[in-house]
Parts: sequence; structure tokens; C-alpha cells
Amino acid sequence: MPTAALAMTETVWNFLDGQVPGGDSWRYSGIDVPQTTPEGLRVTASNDDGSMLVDLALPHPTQVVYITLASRTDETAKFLWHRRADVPGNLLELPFTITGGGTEQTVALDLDPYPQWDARTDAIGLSFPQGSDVLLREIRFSHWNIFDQTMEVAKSFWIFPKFNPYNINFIWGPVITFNPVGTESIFSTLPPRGRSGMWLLYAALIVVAGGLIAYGIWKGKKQSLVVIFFLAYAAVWILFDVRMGAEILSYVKNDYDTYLSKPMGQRIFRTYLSFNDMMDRTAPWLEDVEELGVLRETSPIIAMTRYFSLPATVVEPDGPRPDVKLWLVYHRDDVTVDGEGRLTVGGVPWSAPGRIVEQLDTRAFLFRTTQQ
Amino acid sequence: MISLIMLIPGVVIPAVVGWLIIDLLEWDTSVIGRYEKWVMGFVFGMTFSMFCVFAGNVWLGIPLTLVGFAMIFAGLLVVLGAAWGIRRGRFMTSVKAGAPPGRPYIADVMHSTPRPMMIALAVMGGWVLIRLLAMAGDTAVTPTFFDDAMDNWNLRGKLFFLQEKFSLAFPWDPSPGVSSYPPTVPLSKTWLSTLAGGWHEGLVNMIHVVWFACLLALVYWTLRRMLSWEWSALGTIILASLPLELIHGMSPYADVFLSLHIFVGVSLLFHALKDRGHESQGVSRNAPTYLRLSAFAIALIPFTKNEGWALYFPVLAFLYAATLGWLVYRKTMTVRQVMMTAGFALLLAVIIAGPWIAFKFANGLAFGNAKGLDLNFRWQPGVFASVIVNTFLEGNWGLLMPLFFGLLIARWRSAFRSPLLLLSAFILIPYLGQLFLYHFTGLSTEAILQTGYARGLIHLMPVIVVLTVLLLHDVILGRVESGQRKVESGQ
Repeated sequence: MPTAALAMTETVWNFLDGQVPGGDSWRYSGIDVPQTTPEGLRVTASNDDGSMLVDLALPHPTQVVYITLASRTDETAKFLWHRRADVPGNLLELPFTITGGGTEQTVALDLDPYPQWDARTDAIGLSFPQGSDVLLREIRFSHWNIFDQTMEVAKSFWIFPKFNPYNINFIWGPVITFNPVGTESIFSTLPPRGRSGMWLLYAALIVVAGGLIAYGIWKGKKQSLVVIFFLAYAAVWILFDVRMGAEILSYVKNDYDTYLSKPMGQRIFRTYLSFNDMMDRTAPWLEDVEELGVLRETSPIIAMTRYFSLPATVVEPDGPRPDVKLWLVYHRDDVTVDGEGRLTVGGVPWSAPGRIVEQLDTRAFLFRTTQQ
Repeated sequence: MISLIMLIPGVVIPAVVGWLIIDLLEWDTSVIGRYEKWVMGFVFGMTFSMFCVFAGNVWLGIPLTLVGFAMIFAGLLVVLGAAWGIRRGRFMTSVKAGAPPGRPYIADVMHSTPRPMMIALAVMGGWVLIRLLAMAGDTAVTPTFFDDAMDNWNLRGKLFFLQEKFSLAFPWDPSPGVSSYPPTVPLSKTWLSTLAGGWHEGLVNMIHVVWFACLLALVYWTLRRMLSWEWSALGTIILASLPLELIHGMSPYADVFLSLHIFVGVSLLFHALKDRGHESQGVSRNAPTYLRLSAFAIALIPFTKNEGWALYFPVLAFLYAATLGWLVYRKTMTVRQVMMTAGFALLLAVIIAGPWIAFKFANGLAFGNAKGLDLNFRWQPGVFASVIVNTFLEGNWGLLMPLFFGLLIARWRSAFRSPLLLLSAFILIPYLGQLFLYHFTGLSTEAILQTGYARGLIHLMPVIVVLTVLLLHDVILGRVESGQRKVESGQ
């Protein structure tokens, strides 16, 4: 049932009240007999991974697929599709996560960025792992018109990512998307969900160059057209420069907003979050110790801890070390302080008696033994 | 904040050392401008001083304390100052010959610069300056962020400072791979921290901002020798506006530092080829001076970063020799001048680069970029696409690279059949060499993961920008060659 909206063309498949859009053309594999209910189509895969496929012939292309469903347990399902050019049965898949708890949720799958996506696919489907029990309520196929797509391109061009450690090797630069779902989640994944905005700039230059070449052939002029081309090049360059300059300044503003302007204990530094704040709060305790024992989850903090803790040397003991006076415990739920005031790992005492001297965050603390 | 003030003596003292070195290398022919000499002097002075600090600590046991640094700097200033005094006494009655830059070959090129262009240039420059100041301020007040700074450049500087001596070992690792990297950058941080009496993140990171500012200034003066101030400013703005270049310029990594030394070496070599100032019977007095200065810069390169020795030093040595050959072929220099210059360059390389290379051999330190090279040559899939993305489709270099390659093709005569060949060759030899290694060896991961490819471009970027601006000027005004001819014919 296609519904034309001002901003988009949309086809909605509603599974409520016993409806099954697509009817008998659904093909089930590994799935128990689906049950139609007033709340939606109940799909269970008791004995094996299951999938359901249906032929598709929409009157419009599709950029985003919204799937509304509910599940009692967390599941990783897959959206499936068949490209018209591929042999029958050859399906492509895009995994998505269903959050358990039984509440209704809508998963928005932006398919635009994937070169494998066929906007006029002739078959789609869903795949669920063994043990799934899902209530499927709605599938929507959305497509935005050229005006809205242009607006999204313009909007996404000016969205800036956060400053990341990998920016010492490369910077994404402008990234463009063609629908609001893409724009909203543009930098939420690696790589970003969009296409390089540099294509836009190159396209503009190619159009200018083509126009000038045509004009030059027609009029027989050359030198002034070269200058005009370079002026156009400069204009595009300035557009890029304004965009990237603003991104660079956004890094600085973010540092001010989240780190420099905040009091100790509330400071967040880029992707390292509260780590630098923790190290600043740890620093006074390092003055009279030679070693800092570190108990951490698997994370890259060790090199940073070593650097910021100097002259104290970071040690990561394999077993008890009663001689280590200061301990940094970072996100290790198996580390506690026992009744005698000792740091224990999995119930085994590792330190001399002492106390927690700084609660660095909800799951990180600094422990100092009472020995001199 | 008080710690940051120590940046001033930390920069000025090495700058005096470098100023004396340049003035002595110029001897009786001045080719470096008054302000340029201080900027280049800082570059030369800091690196050479840290070389002496390294040698003094390792071979003479001079500690990395305030007294130790004072001994080294005092020694340098006394020796260089004495030599400068003797030289000055000898030439007291005559003003140094060569003309400092400021009188470019094409003096009237942009005198008719349209007002809208001037406004656009000023706005672009202002926008770049805002970014530079904002990022510099940010660097001064935020902690170190990038991995290699905390694993290598800052970490080693902090250890040297705390231990008051040079060391190849870390307390937790007796033979870390990063110790194979030259200690100049870490020792500079040790020097600043020693002055400040403590380790201060902002202070030790700000030295990179100073190096970047020096690079921008030297790019300006290099172009200014050939073009009007507007074109020279354009080149500087282009370099500073490249997003990845700016991030490197404001980060405690050694790639801009290496590129600075490379650029000085190449640009001085280029001036030796082009500068026809103070000719006497067709023989240039400026060329040997530029060549002495260039030799000094090239000799420092192995002491900046491993790639300096493994990749750029051989290319520069080859181009240096080729330049000498060309100059003697064109009778711009006499055979005797060339022999003297080559001998002097060799001496500098042995004296400055030699000890560090010998030290590396003696201690079994790696010469590459600390990653093993698999010589089982075969095509590495994925590299080409990754190179294209990094070069053209990300925000790293803006629109520079299509412009650069386009101009290189469109103006191939200028790029490959004029003195610009030196710049073209310097860019293309290492660049194509790196592309080959990425496409056919295990180093491919450096390109696919984008961890190494862009660094190589950072090293070349100042030269790329200068060549691009010269070719752009050539294509738009078409007067580089004609202007040169006018000057060469004495007009």
C-alpha cells in the first residue's frame, strides 16, 4: 500500500490485526508456522536458524527499511535481499540488533551507503537465530524525493565528527548522506555511513570544466577560460576550507566545553573520556611511590597510564604483590576490598591492607596501602 | 602558564646557535634574509644542539641537567661565537656580498592584483590564522592525545628528563623498538622541561607548534625568492589550510619536524640551481653558499626520524650530486668550487650523520620505521583503493592533490625540463618508491589501514605545495620562465 508523503514515498506493510502483506508469497525456512495475532505476526525459530522471504515489486525505489518488532530476548537478526542481477537464491544480508524486553522497537536500516544494495530489489526477507521468538508488526520501505535528498546532502556535508586518535593518520572530511536516517547516524560507525563529500566538489569542478571547454570550442578563446577554471577551483577550495576549518574549530570548542571548562572530577577528554581526569587525580598519590599497580580490563589505557604515571613505574602483576603501595583498579568487577582491607582479585588477597583513597568513576578507584 | 614562558629561552638559545651556524656557512656571501636567518637558525640550532647534547651525554657523560645543558650550549656559543668573531674580523671592512631575499625574480607580477583577489586572500589568511591560533592554544592547555607521542616522542623525552641521561631502555622494556628513532625530538622536550624545572604537557607539545610556524615561514620565504608576496602568502595559506598537515603541525609527532628539515635542504638546493645573484664571469657566488647551507640541513636529516636516513637522505644525496654536476656543466660553478662544496658536504654528513649511524650500528638499532620489510614481492590487493581514498576522497589534503597532479601533467615541460625538475624529482622518487613498497610488499598494511601512507605525504607536502604554487603561477601568468630569462639577461 504505497502512501505518498510530502517528504518521501513510502510503502507500509502492516502485520497487525492478523494481516500478512505479501500473503502466500512468503517462503519460510527453519521457522515454525507463523501465527497471525492482533499484535502482529509471531515468528519463532525453535529448532534451527530461520528465515522468511517474500517477492517484492514496489512502485518506488527504497533507501531505508524500518522494521517494527518486539522480542523478549536480545537477538541479532538479519535483513536479507536479492539483487535483480544476481542468480535466484543468492541473497545479501545486513545484521541488526533486536533489544529484548518485549517492548516495541523500530529498527531503521539505512541501505543507501551499501553499494551492494539494490534500491529496486525483487525479494527481501528476515533471518532470525535459533531460539528467536519475535513479534513482527510493521515493515516500511521509504524513499525520499530529489529535493529532500538534496537537503540531506547539504545538511550532512556540515556535520562534523569528534576528534579521534586515528585523525593523526586521516580525517574523514565531508561525508554526505541522502536520507535523514543516514544523516542522524552519519559518524556513529566506522567507516561513516555515507559517501565522500569530495565527490560533490569534484562533480562541481567537472561541470565547470566541461562548460568552459564547450564554450572555448564554440568561441575559440583559451587563456581567459583557464583563469576562470582556476577561479572556480578556488571557490570550491574555499567551500572545502570553510567546512574543514569549522570542523577543526569544533574540536577546540569541544575541548573547552567538555574538558577545560569543567572542574576536576567532571572532565571528559575526547575519546579517552574521563581517563585524563583520573590520571590528574591520581598524580598527587604518585609522589611517594615507585610503582603503580594496575588492574584493568582489556583496554588500551596501559601505555597512557605508563606515560602519565612517570616517574612511578606501572606494574601489572600476575599474582599478589604486598609490596606495591598504590593500585589503580580500572573497570575490573572481580577486584574488591576484603574485610581486612586488602585488595582481592577473584577473592585472593593481592595487596597489603589499605583503603580506597579516590573513587575515580563508578567502576574505577585508587587503592593505597597503609604501610609506609 | 609560567612553564610555557620557558618556551622563549628554550627557543631563543638554540636559535642563536643556529644563527651563528648559518652566518658562518654563508661566510662572505649573504643569501638568507634577516628574519629568515633566525627562523632557519632555530631549526638548525635546535637539532644540531640536541645532536651535541646526545653526543655529550653518551660519549662524555655530560648529564641532562640544567648544568649539563648549560655546558653544551655555552660550549657551542663560545666555539661558534669565536669563529664568527674571526670571520667578522676578516671581513670587517667589506659588507657581505649576496643580497638577502626580498627582491624576487619577478617583482611586478602581482602589482595589479585585483581588489577582490586581495580580499579573498586576506579572508583565507585570516580564517587559517584563526585555526592556527585556536589549535595552538588547545595544544598548550590539553594533555597529549596521540599514541606515538605517549609511546615514543614524549615518553622518551620524559624518561630522559627524569633519569637525567639518554637511555635506550624503558623501566618496563629493556629494548623497546622505538629507541631506534633519533632522540632529537625527545631531547628537545627534555631541554624545555629542564629549563622549566618540571614536565609540562603544554610546554613540551608547544615546541611542535613552533616548528610548524617555522615551516610556514620558510615556505613563504622560499616562494618569495621567486614570486610576489601575494603568491608566496597563497602558498603558505595552502599549506596551513591542509587539514591533516595542520593536525600534524599541532601534534607531538616527528613528521612535520622531519619535513621541515627536508624542505630546508631541498629548497636551498633549488635556490642553488635557480639563483643567479652575484655572478662574476658567469660564476655564481650564491650557489656555493646555498649548497653549503643545504648540505648542513641534509646532514641533520638522519638525526630527525628513521625515514630521514632510510628514505630521504639517499634521494637528497643523489639530487645534491646531480645539482653539482649540472652547475659545473652549466659553468655556474667552477670545478674547484664543486669539489670544495662536495667535500664540505661529505664532511658535514660524516661529522653529523656519521656518529648517530655508528651509534645505531653499535647498539643494533633498526634503520627502517620499526616494521619489518617482507621482500617477497607480490601484488597487494586493497592498497590502490586505499591510496586513492586517502589522497583524493578524504579530507586530508583538500583539493591539493588533484591540482598538483593535474599541473604536473599540464605543465610537464616546466615540471621536468626546468630547474623545477629538482622539486619534481624529489617528490616523485620517494613517493613512487613508497607506492611500490605499499603495492608489492608486506608494508601494504601501512596503506590499507592508513597508518603510514599519509605520513609519507606529510614529509613531502611542503615541497609539493611549493611546486604546485610555482606551476600554478606558471599556468596562470605564464611568466616564470620569461621572468627568469629577463633576470638572466640582466634586465
